[in-house]
Amino acid sequence: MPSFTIDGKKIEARPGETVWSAAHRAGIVIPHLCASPNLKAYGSCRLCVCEVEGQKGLPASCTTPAREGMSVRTDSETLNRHRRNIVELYLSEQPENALDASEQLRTYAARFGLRKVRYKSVKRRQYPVDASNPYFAFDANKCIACARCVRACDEMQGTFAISMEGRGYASSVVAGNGVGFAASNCVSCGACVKECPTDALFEKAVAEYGKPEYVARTTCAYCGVGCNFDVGVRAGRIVTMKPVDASPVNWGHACVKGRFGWDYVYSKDRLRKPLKRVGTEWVPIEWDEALRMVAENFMRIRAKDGPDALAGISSSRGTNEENYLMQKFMRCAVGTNNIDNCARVCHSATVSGMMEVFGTWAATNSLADLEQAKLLMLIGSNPTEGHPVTGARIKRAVRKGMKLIVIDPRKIELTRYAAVHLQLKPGTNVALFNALANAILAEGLENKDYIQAHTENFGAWLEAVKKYTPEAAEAITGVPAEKIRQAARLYATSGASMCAHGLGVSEHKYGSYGIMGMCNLAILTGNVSRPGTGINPLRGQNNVQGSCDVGSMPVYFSSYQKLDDPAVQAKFLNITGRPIPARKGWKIPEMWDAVLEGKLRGLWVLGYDVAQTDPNLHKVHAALSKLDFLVVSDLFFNETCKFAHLALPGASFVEKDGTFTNGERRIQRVHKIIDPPDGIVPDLDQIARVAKHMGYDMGDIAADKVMAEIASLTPPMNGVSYDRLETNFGLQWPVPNAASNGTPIMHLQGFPRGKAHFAPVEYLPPGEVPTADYPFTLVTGRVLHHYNSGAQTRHSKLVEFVNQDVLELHAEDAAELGLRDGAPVKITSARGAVTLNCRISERVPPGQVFTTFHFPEVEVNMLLSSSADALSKCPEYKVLTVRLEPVHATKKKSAANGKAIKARVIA
Amino acid sequence: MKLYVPHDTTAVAAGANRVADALRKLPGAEIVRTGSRGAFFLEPLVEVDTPAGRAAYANVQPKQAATLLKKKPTPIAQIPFLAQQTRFTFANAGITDPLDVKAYGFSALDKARGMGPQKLIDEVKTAQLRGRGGAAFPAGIKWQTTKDVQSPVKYVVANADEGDPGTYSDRMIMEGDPFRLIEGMAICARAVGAKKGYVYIRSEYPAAIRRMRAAAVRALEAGMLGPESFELEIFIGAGAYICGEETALLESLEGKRGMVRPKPPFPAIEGLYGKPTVVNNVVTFATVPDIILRGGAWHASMGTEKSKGTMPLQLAGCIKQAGLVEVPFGLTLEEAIYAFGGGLPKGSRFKAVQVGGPLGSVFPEALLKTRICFDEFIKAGGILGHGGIVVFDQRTDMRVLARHYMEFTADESCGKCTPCRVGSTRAKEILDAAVKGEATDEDYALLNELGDTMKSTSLCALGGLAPEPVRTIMQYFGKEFQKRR
Amino acid sequence: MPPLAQVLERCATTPPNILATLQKVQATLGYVPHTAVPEIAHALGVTDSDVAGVLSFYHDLRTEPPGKHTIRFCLGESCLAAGAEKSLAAIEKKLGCELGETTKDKRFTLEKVYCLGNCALSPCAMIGEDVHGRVLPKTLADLLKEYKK
Ligand SMILES: Nc1nc2c(c(=O)[nH]1)N[C@H]1C(S)=C(S)[C@@H](COP(=O)(O)OP(=O)(O)OC[C@H]3O[C@@H](n4cnc5c(=O)[nH]c(N)nc54)[C@H](O)[C@@H]3O)O[C@H]1N2
Ligand SMILES: Nc1nc2c(c(=O)[nH]1)N[C@H]1C(S)=C(S)[C@@H](COP(=O)(O)OP(=O)(O)OC[C@H]3O[C@@H](n4cnc5c(=O)[nH]c(N)nc54)[C@H](O)[C@@H]3O)O[C@H]1N2
Ligand SMILES: Cc1cc2nc3c(=O)[nH]c(=O)nc-3n(C[C@H](O)[C@H](O)[C@H](O)COP(=O)(O)O)c2cc1C
Ligand code: SF4
Ligand code: SF4
Ligand code: SF4
Ligand code: SF4
Ligand code: SF4
Ligand code: FES
Ligand code: FES
Ligand SMILES: [Mo]
Repeated sequence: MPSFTIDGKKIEARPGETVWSAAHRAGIVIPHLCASPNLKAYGSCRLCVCEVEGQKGLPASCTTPAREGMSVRTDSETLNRHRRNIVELYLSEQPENALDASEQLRTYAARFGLRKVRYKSVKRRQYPVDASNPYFAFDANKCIACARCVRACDEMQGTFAISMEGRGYASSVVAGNGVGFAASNCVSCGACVKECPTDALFEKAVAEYGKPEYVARTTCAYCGVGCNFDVGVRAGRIVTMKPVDASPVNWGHACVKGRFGWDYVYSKDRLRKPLKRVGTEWVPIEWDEALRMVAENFMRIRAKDGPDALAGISSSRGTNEENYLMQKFMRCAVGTNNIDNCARVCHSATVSGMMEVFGTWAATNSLADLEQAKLLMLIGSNPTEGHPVTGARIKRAVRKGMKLIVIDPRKIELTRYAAVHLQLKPGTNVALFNALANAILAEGLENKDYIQAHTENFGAWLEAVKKYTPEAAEAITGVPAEKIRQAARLYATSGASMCAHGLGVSEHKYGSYGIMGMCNLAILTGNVSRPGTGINPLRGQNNVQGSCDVGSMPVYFSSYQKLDDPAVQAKFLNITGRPIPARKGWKIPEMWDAVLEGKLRGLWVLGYDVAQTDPNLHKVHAALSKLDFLVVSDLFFNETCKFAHLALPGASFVEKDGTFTNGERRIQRVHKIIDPPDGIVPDLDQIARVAKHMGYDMGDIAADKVMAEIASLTPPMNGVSYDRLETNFGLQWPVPNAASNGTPIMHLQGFPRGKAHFAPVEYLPPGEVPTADYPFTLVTGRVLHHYNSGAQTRHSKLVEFVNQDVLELHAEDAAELGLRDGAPVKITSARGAVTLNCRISERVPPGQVFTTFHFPEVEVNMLLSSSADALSKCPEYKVLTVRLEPVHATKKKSAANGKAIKARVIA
Repeated sequence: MKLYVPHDTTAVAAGANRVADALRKLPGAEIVRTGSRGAFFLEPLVEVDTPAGRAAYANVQPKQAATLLKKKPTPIAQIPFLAQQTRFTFANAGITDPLDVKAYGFSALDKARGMGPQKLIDEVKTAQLRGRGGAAFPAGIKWQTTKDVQSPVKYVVANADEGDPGTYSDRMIMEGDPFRLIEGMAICARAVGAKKGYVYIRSEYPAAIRRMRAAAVRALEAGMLGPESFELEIFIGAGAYICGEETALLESLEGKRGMVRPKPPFPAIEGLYGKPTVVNNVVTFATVPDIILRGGAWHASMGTEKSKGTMPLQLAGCIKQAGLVEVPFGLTLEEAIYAFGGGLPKGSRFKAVQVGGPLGSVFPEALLKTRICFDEFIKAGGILGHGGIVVFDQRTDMRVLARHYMEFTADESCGKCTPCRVGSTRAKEILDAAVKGEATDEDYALLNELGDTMKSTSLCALGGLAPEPVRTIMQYFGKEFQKRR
Repeated sequence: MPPLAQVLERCATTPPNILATLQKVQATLGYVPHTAVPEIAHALGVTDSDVAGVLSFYHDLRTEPPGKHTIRFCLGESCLAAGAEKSLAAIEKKLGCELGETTKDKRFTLEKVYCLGNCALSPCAMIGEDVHGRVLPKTLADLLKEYKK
């Protein structure tokens, strides 16, 4: 730790750190334009020059390593004269009208006493502005060639979409092959825009509405990464959202949805007034009437058919407080355990699988562990689209030497970074995991000490994996045996191997088994309970972790406490004044059966578009149509609303207080920044007011009070309170008491179930295997620019990137079917048929096709069956078999926007 | 009968190929193509063996071929331009077939193979060999640094970008004695523990590229190179002066834009692909074999106090006897120009001399007594650089020359740092006005101030030294800038 | 296989070398058309902008087809001292085109270069790969005649 002085002040530098960076951390800001705490030093602007005692010349502080005992001056007449001259050079190339020049430059000009640019007859630049990106633009005339944008794209995002071009005075920034940002491979993460020290790269919203007057902190409401943002507000309007540098979650980075895709908040299509169905019409009504209507209908049904004829589906898009209150409403005001949330169709199999092996239900490690992992095994997860900030972090880790194994039937973007890609057949995870174990054992690479000390059932499990030789697995999975061995060796011997997985493991008929098979590998090699290891589901929605943690589940209470545990019951009664209902509740798929059987009659769906995103939509739609009373609370009039009797507008994440829990168990604050439009009653109040109408007083439902209640009822969250969450980017549960600072790595002191349990699992084929009638395997998943139902993203400028679901298929299959790129193709499964435009793609192998489910115009989920994991009821979204036929229709011209589709297929 | 005809670019430009073709027709004539001795004012210079050593016919024309041998050749020892030189590094240039491995012998490498790496480095340190590429950094210290870094992969790179206008010594080594470069690199590789090397040659040197490629193949065949010992690759530049700067060169060698990297880290520690890399100039490497054969002390016995050994001076511009002169450091600029260069041609009067390429200073007559050695030049307000000496006569418009330097910098700036990227263009604009007689005193004051900022704050020596020729021109020839339209 | 694909097949190295690849493409096609950038990038496993950035950096690399012969006229100091500017003016006049341009008949492209290492015979020019010295206004006509074909 070298210590040195800057202008007489003593500073501690980290080993290898530069003078500028050490100073910056200590809060001393040396003038700079090209340096950034997020990027490697570059040395372009020369404003950071300094004087070092006993050394000749004026080194740039951003590229000069701090040495023990050095004495640095950053402020002297000489230094400032040079700085003034440099700023003068900058201004000489900026647009002629001084006020058009970058604000940062003007500030420096004032600071260094530059009054007038003395250069005459200068050749100014005359570039056109590239406004092709919907959210930001590039004005090369204001560019100072500092390459911060280029370095951000390389070092932060890892997309390499832009480069410096030309040289000398003609240096500028080029996107792609000079095609502009929109048509390049840019993923619009905004890292370049954030780094740009001038206004060369600027956000259109800021240009339109002005620079923010103040900023407020919040957490992204899209995916489970849970990025922290500073929201910039001007005149009561959000004008920008900038990722927070200090955040351990997103280290100053973001993805296009979080950074820019919040514009749906201002969509004119938002629900603003409660809408009541009158025949085939929708009539706006007053809030009080609407909430009374919910209570009355619920009481009517309960009076006739009992409380279990009612159910609630809560939103993993909403806050912990909303989820807690919603389950409390169902359990206390209604009197039923019929409460579930979207985790059911997402990572429920992860929970049941991890419960079996570890006795816990969440990621064992933290995202920051990617910096310590020597190897990452990425399984059935496509983070550069689904969890883009984590995807970028993985790329960064690989550039720094971490090895990567990708297990995925598709050639996702990260396969380019992988040491090994095991391209298995969809639905064959279990066979592959068992074979990896088999290969590890065959070469004696298991961690015998770990197995001995921390696990049980090893012997029985050994028997089970015996027959899964790599050769046997090759026959099932299609992965060459040698590659399996190679991956097994890498995973077992790296020193710190981390697993991260996604829906490619959980959303299968034997999803829970897949999870168990994967967890077995971790305990076999001792890759758990240490930094840079573990089993880490990349949880999906922003609060899918939290909605379960706080008890929005039909067979558990918060933190998976058993409903029939007398201690839990007593605690619950004591705090809520009502007992926990006796009967276990229905899981979402069971709810549809219950409706169709006439047992369930009334439903409240909060922030979950079941009519579009659940599988087997024929059945879901039939059930929804059959309900006596359906109320939907949502930001938009989504597909489910179309079946409702009443639609209630919801408040978006910037319009309410609360918390989200991200995929690494981090409970983070969400702050109310603006008022919801048109007097929308926030979800918390909607629930409480309905409860009151039903005779149950929820008391003070201010978000912090609700959290206090959650904390008191939930052992791993006992130590959580709002004042503690405000600082240090929240807390990672378990936070057993107020003294605990949370738990970045779990199981350091063993497992809640005692020892980790080797769970023998057999491979069983998926629900459907290709036949002559249905020869193709269809995998469904997501793309970067849209989010699940698309309710939000389709109401933002994100549609300018991608405006339809397409069917990706291999060129050989396309040729065989006579399909040209972009041509419409009819996809038929045993349940029905839909038509999509096709996209020839290198990402899928022959015989396999891929699509997304973001657009209701085509209800892709009509194709799916109700097949699901037996333990968790997690639907088998990832495998179904289909037939493909070219559509020779000429009636409607396809909506295909060639450019937009092109940007999304990368291979 | 052996006839030695140079195959060097300049000799060929002077007609050596046509002469060789004509001579080939002589009965019994065996033509040996050599490099050039560098006495370019005598090219094509055809040589024959005599009992007293080589003798030569100067400025041979093809039509003279038939009767050439009837004339008496001049013994080389009687050509003062050559006789006054101390030739070590250029000992073979113009004498041997550059691609004859046997004749070359590789005896220094043989000897080096019997010496430990540290011993090799110690010898180079004892020799006090300073880099000939411009910065004059001690080669031994650089090698030691790379040797001391623990790394399974290291590289040795020869900087053959020779971008300074007015220089050609690297070209002459590559065309005239390529094995000497290869041998120097192989010794270095052995000393620092590298197994892979590159010669980065500018694309403007097609003949040197061909010769180096052929030489690398022959050295490999002769067992002097090889995958076990040292592999050598020839890489071609693509027209960028800045790629002579070592870090830009490495970026370019990696196939990227030739942008200067900040130092530290120095290439000796983090160079090509981030691995420890020795980058030396061609002449620096070519000096090493003699140091190993004759010992470092021998090398250190020549030259001035801090500039040891010999320096290849390259005379160019408005001069009678243009060519390469290898002499120990220490003679004066005047001696170089007049004793070797023969002064200026008829009708020309000395006006100015520029030493050290476009980053070097321009000296007036008053400074001709400056001794040729790294430190004396710095004292005199210039740099010796790569040893290029370009003479200008009375016809030179110094404003145009000053503008030329800034235009060069503006053309060749990599564009990374602001003082150079913007400054060179702004300075050129002021000098444009000066040439038109439109520049004011304020403009010159601004130019001066800009030069100071470029010098003090540029990232690399291109921006840092580019103001020097302009500054010295204005210092010594300021009167010309007062001419107004 | 089209010529570009053939060159690219030989250029896929680890790590990829963009400059060397562009040089080979230019050696084959005479220039590097902008439209070839995506194919080059794909073959090397780099991005379009990586290639575009390198392509625009080096004086040698061109994105337009050159004339049959490229004249690289030296404007280095030695050649300037020997009267290069006069020779250049003469050559421009003779060809009817300026530095950076190609003659109408596509026979010559005229470019500047800073030094050919032939300073002893300044002023100099390189035509194709042939270096010529003492390129004076009066000897120009003879010199260009050699390249008329
Ligand atoms: N842009 C964007 N981001 C999102 C979302 C979104 O809709 N859009 N949704 C969020 C939500 S709710 C979730 S749950 C996450 C989901 O994020 P991910 O878990 O990444 O989800 P998917 O893209 O659906 O599927 C992941 C991968 O599983 C692979 N796969 C399919 N079958 C198998 C198999 O049998 N074995 C293996 N090993 N792999 C298989 C697929 O090829 C696919 O690449 O993303 C979240 N983030
Ligand atoms: N074919 C196929 N189908 C799938 C999947 C698949 O991989 N393939 N993945 C499945 C998975 S993993 C998931 S998680 C589901 C997701 O499916 P859904 O949960 O249905 O989708 P979302 O778009 O995340 O959000 C649902 C609704 O929440 C609303 N909303 C957002 N924020 C708020 C809020 O603050 N308040 C209120 N009241 N409403 C809000 C949105 O407007 C939207 O209508 O889809 C599943 N469906
Ligand atoms: C703008 C610039 C151009 C340079 N050009 C060359 C060159 O053409 N050849 C060369 O050997 N060194 C050149 N150098 C010096 C190199 O950076 C480096 O110092 C040298 O190659 C090291 O070798 P040496 O120690 O043997 O001289 C240049 C430096 C700068 C700043
Ligand atoms: S360019 Fe110079 S002044 Fe600017 S940050 Fe880098 S080192 Fe500091
Ligand atoms: S928005 Fe992101 S991906 Fe696009 S150029 Fe900028 S940094 Fe690169
Ligand atoms: S666009 Fe901005 S960040 Fe990029 S080089 Fe220009 S000034 Fe720097
Ligand atoms: S990665 Fe996820 S949490 Fe982060 S900005 Fe993107 S959508 Fe939001
Ligand atoms: S001084 Fe010029 S050449 Fe050197 S780094 Fe700066 S811009 Fe590039
Ligand atoms: S901040 Fe150091 S050079 Fe720009
Ligand atoms: S300056 Fe023209 S050839 Fe060297
Ligand atoms: Mo999900």
